[in-house]
Amino acid sequence: MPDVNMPKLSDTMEEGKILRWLKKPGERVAIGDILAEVETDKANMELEAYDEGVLSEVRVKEGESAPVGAVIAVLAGADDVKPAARLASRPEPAPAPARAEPRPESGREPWRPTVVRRPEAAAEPEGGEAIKASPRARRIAREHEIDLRSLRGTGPGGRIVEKDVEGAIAAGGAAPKKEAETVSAPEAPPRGERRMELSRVRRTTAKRMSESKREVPHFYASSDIRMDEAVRLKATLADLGGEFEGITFTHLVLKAVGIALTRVPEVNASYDGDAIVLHDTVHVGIATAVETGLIVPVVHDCDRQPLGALVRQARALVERARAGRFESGDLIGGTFTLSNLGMYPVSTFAAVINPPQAAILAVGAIRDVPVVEGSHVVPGRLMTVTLSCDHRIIDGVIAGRFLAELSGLLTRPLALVV
Amino acid sequence: MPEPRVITFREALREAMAEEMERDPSIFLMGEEVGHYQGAYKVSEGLLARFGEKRVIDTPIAETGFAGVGIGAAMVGLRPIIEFMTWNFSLTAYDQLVNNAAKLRYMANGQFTLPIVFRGPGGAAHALAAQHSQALESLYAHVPGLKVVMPATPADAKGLLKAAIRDDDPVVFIESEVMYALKGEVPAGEHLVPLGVADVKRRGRDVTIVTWAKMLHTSLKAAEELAQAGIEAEVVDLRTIRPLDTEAIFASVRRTGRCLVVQEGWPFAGVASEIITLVVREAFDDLDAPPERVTSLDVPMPYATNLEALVLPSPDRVVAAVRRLLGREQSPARPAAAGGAR
Repeated sequence: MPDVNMPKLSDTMEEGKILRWLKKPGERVAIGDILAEVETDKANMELEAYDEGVLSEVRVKEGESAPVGAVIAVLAGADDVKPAARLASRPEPAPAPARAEPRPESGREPWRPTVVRRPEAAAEPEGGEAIKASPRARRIAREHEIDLRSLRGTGPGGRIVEKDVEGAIAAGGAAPKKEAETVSAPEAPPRGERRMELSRVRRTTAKRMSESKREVPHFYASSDIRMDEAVRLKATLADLGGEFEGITFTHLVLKAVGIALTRVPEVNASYDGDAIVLHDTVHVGIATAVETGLIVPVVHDCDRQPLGALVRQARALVERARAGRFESGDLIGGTFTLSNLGMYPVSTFAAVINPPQAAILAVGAIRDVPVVEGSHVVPGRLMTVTLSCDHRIIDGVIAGRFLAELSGLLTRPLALVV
Repeated sequence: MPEPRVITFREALREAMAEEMERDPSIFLMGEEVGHYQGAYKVSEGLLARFGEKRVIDTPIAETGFAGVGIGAAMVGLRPIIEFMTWNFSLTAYDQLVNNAAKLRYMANGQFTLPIVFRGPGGAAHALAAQHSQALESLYAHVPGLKVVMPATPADAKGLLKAAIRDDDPVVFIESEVMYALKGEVPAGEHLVPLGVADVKRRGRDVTIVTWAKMLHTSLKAAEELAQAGIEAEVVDLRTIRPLDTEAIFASVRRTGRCLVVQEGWPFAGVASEIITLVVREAFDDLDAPPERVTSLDVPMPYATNLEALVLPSPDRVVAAVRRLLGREQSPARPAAAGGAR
């Protein structure tokens, strides 16, 4: 039963952290196999097996540290693995004496420096990149999720160049990239940085938001809206169930916005260079966070559809959005956008207009606040909304009228259901 | 569409000046031997007879003086063409170019423009030794306020010189003694090549060679040789050093992933260094190898012709550099020719 000890990988190393076990208990291990990745005070290293057998026991879990010399795993000869040993991955951490003692019965040296090799033979100063690859090869490998370590470099000095990566792609792809971090920055210092390629959605968002802020002169108007009755109405409707099942404040605001937009049609508009385009239809997009970024599914005819139908449509839309399965029309035709951060402790924020629309409404959380009613201070529930407007076609007065309508509809929300 | 004819680089320059002088009476040519001697290199041949002594003016051997006169004339509304017999001689007038031509528009808050062209041959010719063989474009390109133009073909010579004469800023226009007899198709009549626009003179997918002026021909020869070995070099002729057509450079390097800059001048702090800096910064993720440059060796030019040939960039050195970029070195059959200024 050979022991695997925490190796001493540098003169100053006192302990090492297991980043990852590449072999699991029960797995057969050949000499030279990589057992684990170890983080030291200087670098991340790979731990090679010195003996062969079956990994019978892992004594130091991933993410845990052990002093140099401590037994971190046990190899069993292939024959003496008992079924129970396959499960014997005892999670208890290695004994942590200040100085590791060799186990007396083993008679072995506590550690063998020779069991360790750097991830790449190319010896570079500590903290440097272990893999020698051109920036172009790295980029293409990144794009195709190819593990550079699986490639042989044919460039000058063994550098991995484009040709090598393209060859691997043509050959059906080399080993897929494992943990991105262990490949591209195996020796990343604790305060490094990670580079995440922009998703297509994120790229589009970046482009459109820059355009908007660059070209559209924004101004902002906020309003505190009493939501006491809306809160009650929502609870009542939720109790009612049926088509109101799963109703949220977003839905109430959506309906209120739909009606307010028909009353102040200047807000339901687009800027078209030499004309203001007023839209007869009221299609409201809901800014929705998905894994790949931000998308804006559109709820159609918010003015005409009854609240129950809106709830159903909006819920189905957001579900499809999160699943990434859109139907045609889900993402187009929006005339106004709603961005709700009310589920977070966000009291107020200002959103960036989604061009060519003229305005976007940012909705904050409903807060319990003291409210003055006549000569009394009473507990009230306030929600702050902020309208961002394209000042080329909307003036402050129009924003004010829209917010007045919206505030009225939400303060006395019965109009939303009748 | 003007009809192309085959004429020399020298004739193309002359045609550019004559056409512009016909078009605009405020243009005049001034310099040593430009008139009665018909030009030290015969570029201005016939212009004195055609335009008279008020517009084709011989000067004493006094570059500081006539460069300054030109700058003053440009300030008051004329459009001078100042010929330096060679750019080596411009060094006595360096102060005029750097401190007056390049600065006056800026320091006068735009009240003056400086529509002046300084032109003449630069670089090495044959056995002219250390003081008369210098490629000085890096010196002038270093200075904000100066445009630096370097044509490599007769057609570009005509088009660029006409554009330079019409430009409202001082233009350093560097020709080459060894290219004056170069022949090529040149459109007759109105033919303008805008400043600041590079031209891909040869398409290729494996490596980008960025170059200009005389080195274009060195690079094209190297590209021919490389093609025999199945290596397709793209050769980008900058035509204008400043303003630099960075987009053309980046676009090509993004395609090929490899960049070599070939310049006649010395390596230290030269135009090649600037281009490589920009490429590394802007096209880093597209680079498949560290950019290279081929330049003159970092020494004063020897007088001996055999040594001169070793100092100047040669097609052999360009080929060797491309092979290094591609990781396809050949064992150096001729070490002297393969060894390069790095």
